[in-house]
Amino acid sequence: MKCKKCGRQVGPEELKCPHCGADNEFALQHKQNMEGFEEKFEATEKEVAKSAKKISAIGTKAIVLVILLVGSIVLYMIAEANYKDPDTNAAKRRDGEQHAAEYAAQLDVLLQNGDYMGFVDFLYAHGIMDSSNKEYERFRNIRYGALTYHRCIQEMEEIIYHSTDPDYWDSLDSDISIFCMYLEGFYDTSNSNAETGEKKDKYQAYMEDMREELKIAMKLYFSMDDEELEEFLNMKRGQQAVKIEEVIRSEK
Amino acid sequence: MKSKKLNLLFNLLIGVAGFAFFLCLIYLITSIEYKNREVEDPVAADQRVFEYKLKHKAYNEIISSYYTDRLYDFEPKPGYEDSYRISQYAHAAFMKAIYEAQQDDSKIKKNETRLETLKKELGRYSYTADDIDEALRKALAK
Repeated sequence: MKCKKCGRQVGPEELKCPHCGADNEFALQHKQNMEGFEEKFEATEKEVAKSAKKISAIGTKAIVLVILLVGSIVLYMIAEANYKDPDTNAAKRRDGEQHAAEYAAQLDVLLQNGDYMGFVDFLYAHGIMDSSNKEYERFRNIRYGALTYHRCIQEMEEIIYHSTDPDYWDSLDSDISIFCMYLEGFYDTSNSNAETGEKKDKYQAYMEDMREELKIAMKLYFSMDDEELEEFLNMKRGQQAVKIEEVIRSEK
Repeated sequence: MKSKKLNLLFNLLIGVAGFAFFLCLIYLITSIEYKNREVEDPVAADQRVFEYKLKHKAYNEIISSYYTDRLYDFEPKPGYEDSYRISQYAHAAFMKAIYEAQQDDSKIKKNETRLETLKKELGRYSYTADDIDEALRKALAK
């Protein structure tokens, strides 16, 4: 470009003409513009940095929050697992399902031998009591009857074998009450099976055998004849308990 | 202004989450202590209780424990053999009079064999068979 005063060549960034010393307006204007741009640039740069800092602070907080929440959940789950005892029943149920055919055959043997107590114990010990597996289907109508029979015989044994040691806790009253409760349960189950017209199969015969055994047991161990037993079975639970206690506590 | 509120909200949430984390940490520490607690050998403890029951001739209690245990273990776990045998003898002896009244020869024979086998296996607890027989004799005499 040329100097406006002397007409000689001047560089675009030279503020004065190197030949005559006159001001170079273009260079001055350019310098002024550049200074303005620089200020604006610095301001924008500061603003962007500030904004980015804010966003990054919130982001960091969000990450900390997520870490705390996830950490809390993980710690809670580990703690819960520590408090939880291993579920042995689940393993039993799996075993009962895996060996269904074999166990069903063993249950049949127990019933054939008249070991109804063993039948119930086996059902529980192998997690079969509430199983819906079709292998166990045939025991459906007998298992709850057998369970109440089991409880009745168990309580009768506990009554007969109760400790007479005065220094030992006398649990006779509670054993008698529990027996009366299960006796009612047994007759409810067995009568309900009869009322619903369950077909007379061998399993029903086992139920009748249990009923017979229970009757004989009561007659033998609670000193009753047929008539007294009939009367006893029609009594209320409380009256039954009093009657049994009278017999058991009597000395002979 | 908006970012200030957001900041405040995050600070609050972090405070709450931090407190929850702290509680979970305490819960975890107590759970580890629970898991590593010293547990008395159940077999030894049950054996002591079993001997105590025998001392007081509380066969009802021995039977009660047996029926509870057998709901979990059909065959006796190591250490529980004697308690199972005594209870099974008590049950077989209890059923003997019932089978006899029923006049079911098959059941009588099986039960008799079982009683004899169990009596032999009772070993140092063979006196319990006499206690059981005596309790039944008294009960049936009433």
